[in-house]
Amino acid sequence: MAAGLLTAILSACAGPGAADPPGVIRWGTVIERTNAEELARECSGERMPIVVEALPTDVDQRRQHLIRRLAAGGAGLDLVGLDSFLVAELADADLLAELPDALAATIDDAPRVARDASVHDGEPAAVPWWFDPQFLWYRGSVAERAGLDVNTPISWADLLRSAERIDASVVVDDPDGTGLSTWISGLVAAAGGRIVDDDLTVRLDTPAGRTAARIVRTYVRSGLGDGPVRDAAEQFADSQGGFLLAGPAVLTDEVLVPVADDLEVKGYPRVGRRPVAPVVGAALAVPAGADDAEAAFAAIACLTSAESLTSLATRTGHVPASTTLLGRADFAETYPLASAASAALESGVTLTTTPAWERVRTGLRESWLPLISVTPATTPALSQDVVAELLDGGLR
Amino acid sequence: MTGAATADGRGTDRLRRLDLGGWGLLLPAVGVLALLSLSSLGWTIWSSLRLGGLADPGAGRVGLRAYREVFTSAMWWDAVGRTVLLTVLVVVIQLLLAAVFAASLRRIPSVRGQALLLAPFALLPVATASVWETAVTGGPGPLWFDYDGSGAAAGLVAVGAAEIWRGTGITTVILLAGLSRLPRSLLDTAVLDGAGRGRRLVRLVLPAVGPAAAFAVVYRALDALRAFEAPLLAADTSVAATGSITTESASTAQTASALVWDTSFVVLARGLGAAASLGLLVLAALIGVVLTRLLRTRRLV
Repeated sequence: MAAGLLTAILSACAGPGAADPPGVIRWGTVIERTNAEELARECSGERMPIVVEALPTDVDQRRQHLIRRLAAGGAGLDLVGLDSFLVAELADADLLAELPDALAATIDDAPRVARDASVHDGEPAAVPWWFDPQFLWYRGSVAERAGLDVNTPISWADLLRSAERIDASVVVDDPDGTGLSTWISGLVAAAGGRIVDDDLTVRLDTPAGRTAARIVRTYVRSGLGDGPVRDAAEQFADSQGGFLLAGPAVLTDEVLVPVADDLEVKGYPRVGRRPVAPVVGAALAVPAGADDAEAAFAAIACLTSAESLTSLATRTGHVPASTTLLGRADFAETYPLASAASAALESGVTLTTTPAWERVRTGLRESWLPLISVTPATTPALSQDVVAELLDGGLR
Repeated sequence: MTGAATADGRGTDRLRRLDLGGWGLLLPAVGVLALLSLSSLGWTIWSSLRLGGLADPGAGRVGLRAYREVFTSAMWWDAVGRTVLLTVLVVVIQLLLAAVFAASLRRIPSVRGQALLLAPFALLPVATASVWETAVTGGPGPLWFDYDGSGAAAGLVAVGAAEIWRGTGITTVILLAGLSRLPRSLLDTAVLDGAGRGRRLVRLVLPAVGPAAAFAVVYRALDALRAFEAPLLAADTSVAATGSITTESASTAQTASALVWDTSFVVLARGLGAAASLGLLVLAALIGVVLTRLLRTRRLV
């Protein structure tokens, strides 16, 4: 009797994965700001149908979800859309299937920053899909009133000064919880530094770290906005809105429709002479335990084809990770941001692409929040210690 | 007891001859319990010795490193301090509230009226936690009393309030049971004998309620120590949702159990999480031992 009950309980625990119909490619990806369903339909064709499964929007939950499922042997996913920073961690834990040579070769076509984020230990681990550099979006009328010269490159100092003059807000887009770390690593890189070296040496307590802290402090002190927030687009569209730092996919947000006529875009604000934009990207990979890896690789080839990427770019604004496509004249006609985006990708930086990115991100949150207490004298030094301790295996 | 009733049949004669007594009936259950708890404890100890786990830098090393990292970490001791403080406050406030309730309930003869007190306890803990979380940190609290609801302090107050709400009902029932050992006639006699209020309290009421109160304190202290839903809700101050100017990092409001959860299942650092959870287990054992010792001496007085 007890044995019967035990078997019943155990079989109830087997989970839904076992019941999935065979013969489909299950694609786990973030569906916000993408037209994943549409792309999946277009790539299903005569091949196996692709079924989209939405991954959690929040980055912590997404990471847990993916790691748990993949570590359990693929558990019902044949294809995954990964944040650029997750690639290294999953590849390092041997959770991704090795790419076939033909697909691995396509990585050469990706912009440098996308290539760097998709290669682990010298081998391509995932195929770059889209990589979005952030831009400065502004309302033309507001910039004019503020007297901001939009014909020359804009620096952070210019931006904050003009915004303060007419009390317009400056907000940073944070759709999934990575906004703060992306912002800070972008600022540090723009100031000529790097938050973490390849050998995991932390470089926050440096002149570049202090410059970044100075910009954050100026921003906070002038009371221009909430920093990285989830409803950045909404704040940008309301009456106080003026400036928004975000990737082009923010255009999918319907709240921007009322201000669409007044919407202008410039390169990301500079710190030094060189323009450096924070980049957030996504790559496609096949979990090591996928049922039909071959079909999944074929699906990746289709999803990263020029047609599929064009569909993605023109309908959602995401920047396709293909230099060939970005350089094509007919593509630039339908996607006006093409040349600005490829220039920004040339010098842009992603959040650190080490397996320990999550520790770096956590360390940045622990040491830079609340933003109101950031100072150039203390924050970079504290941040240096916290991140270094976390990288050394310390408790979060 | 039901076992004894079914044992009347003939087929069980052989069982009776084994003469295991009550133990015979208990053995399977004890065995399953021991298997479940010892195997998970063993697995936890084994995990804590390897800084293993997917998200751990330095995976696979064997040794006491995880313990060193946890027990030298300021974050761990902060969390433990917060947890112990919260537990003490919760237990004390709850005991006082419950004493008042129990004393007044004794005057209500209707069992139905008394049962009402259990209603808060019947709520799902997570419902209690989220109601208090909303009330103290987001909704009416900051609005009516004009304070900043986003800070760590408000989060901890919400945790404490939820815990008090959750446990007062059961504490009252325990105290009421203790009080019922004291017949009214005895109190009346004491009055006739000329014992004042204080004397009646010290010589009659406290000795009668003492054991029940001691039980309530130990039970509720251990229960509050492992409180999970409320701390988890309080620690989830999502920066993206609230803006990051004044939002503190989530760890500033974390209790020990939330930290264990966070380390094991959010960061996915299994070794560290296992070491921290063993730390929590030792803490619970210590508190249990200390409280039983302390309360035993009081009872003798």
